[in-house]
Amino acid sequence: MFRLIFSPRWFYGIDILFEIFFVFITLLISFYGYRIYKLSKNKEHKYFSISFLLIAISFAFKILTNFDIYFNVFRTMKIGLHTLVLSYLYNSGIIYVTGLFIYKLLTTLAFFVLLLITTKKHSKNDVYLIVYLIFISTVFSSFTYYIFHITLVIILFFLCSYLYNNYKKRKERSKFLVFFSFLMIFLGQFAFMMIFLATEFYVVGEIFLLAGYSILLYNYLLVSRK
Amino acid sequence: MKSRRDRIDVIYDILSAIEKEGGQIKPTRLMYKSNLSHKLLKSHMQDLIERGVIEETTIKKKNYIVITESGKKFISELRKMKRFLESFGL
Repeated sequence: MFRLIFSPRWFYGIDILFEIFFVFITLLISFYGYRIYKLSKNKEHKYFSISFLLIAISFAFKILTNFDIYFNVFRTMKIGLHTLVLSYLYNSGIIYVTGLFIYKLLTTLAFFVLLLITTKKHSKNDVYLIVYLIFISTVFSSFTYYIFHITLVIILFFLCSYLYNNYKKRKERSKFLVFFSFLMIFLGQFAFMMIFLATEFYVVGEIFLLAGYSILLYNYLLVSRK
Repeated sequence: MKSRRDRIDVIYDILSAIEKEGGQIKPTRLMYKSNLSHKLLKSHMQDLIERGVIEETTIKKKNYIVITESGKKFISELRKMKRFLESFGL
């Protein structure tokens, strides 16, 4: 079984630590969202909680996939800028393929759900159509890595523009922090798209994600402890 | 157009109305201040009494609704939740 690794060798395992941190933050926000839903019984709040839970689960699958890649490495070959990894465990390929597929599908769905609940106006047909397109883009991104990140960049662009307008309406620090954190996540996905230029873009992307999720955590602590 | 209040908004409006009146308020004034029908106010009040957030009491033969100590903590928790949701534009 062979897989493509986009991370520079020195970054192996560091990204896993980052992602464990992302799981912790997104679970925290999801749990808080669920507490709010229990009180409000508002469906928007339920979906808000679910979307962060989906992000947490997706990162858990990415961690699993990265573990599978980094610790089952038999031999690596450099092909252009990418590293082709040959593994001696043939059946572990299932973990790689399934893990990556679930990671991509859940991440895209999570940000799409966030976009839906923040922009509010949508019909059921739009939702079904977009879920179908997300599924298709996830399936095809198994072959073309960049499709997944392009889809996310587009969803995050709309989400960021909504969050910026939300901040512009009433300029508050917490609104700015949420907008800024999603901007960082957007830039992170953008950097992942640039991996074909240099594998260091993977590190840049992960650092942007780290900044984004850290700001989300900071905002959560700021708002919930005041 | 202002969007419909959800349950958190309604509970927050009830409790902050009591708080603004110095911690106790007459039921009719609360109905007016929280902009709720008699039926809706009664159902929310029942829930809040069961949670121990408010109490009904009689002062000089007049009925009052009083916010409890845990009610004061609860309203600050609601404020945080509202701020959190607003930061996401919800």
